[in-house]
Amino acid sequence: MAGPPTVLVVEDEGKLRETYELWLDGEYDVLTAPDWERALELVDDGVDVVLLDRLMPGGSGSEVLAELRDRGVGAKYAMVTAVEPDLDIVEMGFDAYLTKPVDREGLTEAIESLLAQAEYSDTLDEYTSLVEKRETLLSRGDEAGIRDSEEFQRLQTQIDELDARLDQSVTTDDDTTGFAATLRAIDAEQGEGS
Amino acid sequence: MSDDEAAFDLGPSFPHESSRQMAPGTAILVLGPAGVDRRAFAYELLAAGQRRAEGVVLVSTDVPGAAASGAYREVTGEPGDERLFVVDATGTGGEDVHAVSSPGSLTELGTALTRGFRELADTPQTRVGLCSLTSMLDHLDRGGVFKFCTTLSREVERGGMLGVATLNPDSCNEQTLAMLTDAFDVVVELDERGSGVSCRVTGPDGRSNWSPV
Repeated sequence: MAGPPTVLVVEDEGKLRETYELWLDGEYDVLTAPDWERALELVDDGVDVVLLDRLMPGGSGSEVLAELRDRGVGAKYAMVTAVEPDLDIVEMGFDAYLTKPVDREGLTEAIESLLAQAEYSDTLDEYTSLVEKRETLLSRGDEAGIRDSEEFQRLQTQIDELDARLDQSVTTDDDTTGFAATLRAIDAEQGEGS
Repeated sequence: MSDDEAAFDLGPSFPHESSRQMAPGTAILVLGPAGVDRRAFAYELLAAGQRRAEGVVLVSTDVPGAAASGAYREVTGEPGDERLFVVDATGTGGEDVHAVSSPGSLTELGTALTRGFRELADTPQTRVGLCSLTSMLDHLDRGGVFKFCTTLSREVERGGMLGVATLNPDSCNEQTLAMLTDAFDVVVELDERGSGVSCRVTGPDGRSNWSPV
């Protein structure tokens, strides 16, 4: 990822918006929007994480989310809610949720966890294509000879490194919405690919 | 996450005594060609937990969930239904099953599985079964199925669960089979040998001999 990740905060309360911006500034490129019209203007593929308030004038966070997903914006989405969240949030299509009042640590943790989800998906893509390449190589016959080749060994080293990175992202992630969010990301890619 | 780090017991009918105990977080792939009942074999691995107060999430991608859970309950042979969460991914739906519209809908599968894991969070340990990957390959390319298996295996590991999935190896080419095998920790092969079905186990500790089931 070039430069700091970009975070879009959609929050109608001006004071909260400023607070979040202050907390996140420096670590991330921060964009803010007071309502969903502005959010839809600002969001593009350069945005990595979007924080959406559950309730906003003119619409709910889940409506905005549906619109953004429809547009194929590949960001990660968290819902910020004062209501005790449950699984419905996952079923609505959010990748994570944050309960109000949000503190600085909670906010940063949520963003980092969403960035880790995105990182996992990218690593998994790369891992999958290399495993596929390895099996294609091996299917050409003379398995022993291929395994001895420099090309194969380099490939295997890369695969092992990616495997370790995938493991790492799992052990550091104790957020139970991550699994469903990852499968949603794979699903979205499958839709694009075929 | 489970505090109970006890191994998963695959049950007395498991042919290889030395592989009968599986560490929490293990994902098993059951391979069997047409004519060999890999589903019944997988059900037995899950039922061994159902009989021991564990929770079981059963995903059926090829036979309707109600039929799958009926067949599964015949294997468990005793109650424990409150610890069974059935996901029907054939698009049939039905009573007492969590409906997913198609074996290829990974989004819906993800939320259904997450719901199942949460509902069974009070059980000491959870097993998750998926029958079968064969029909997922009809709906997704092999990369998609591989990513699904890799992600599910890691969730099984993270949650200290036991995962069991089935696949007919003759339904896909060698490369696909090798890829999918790579996403699991342990492979149990079933095959007709001599007068009956035999099985061998390949895992981190190596490969067993063939033993009759």
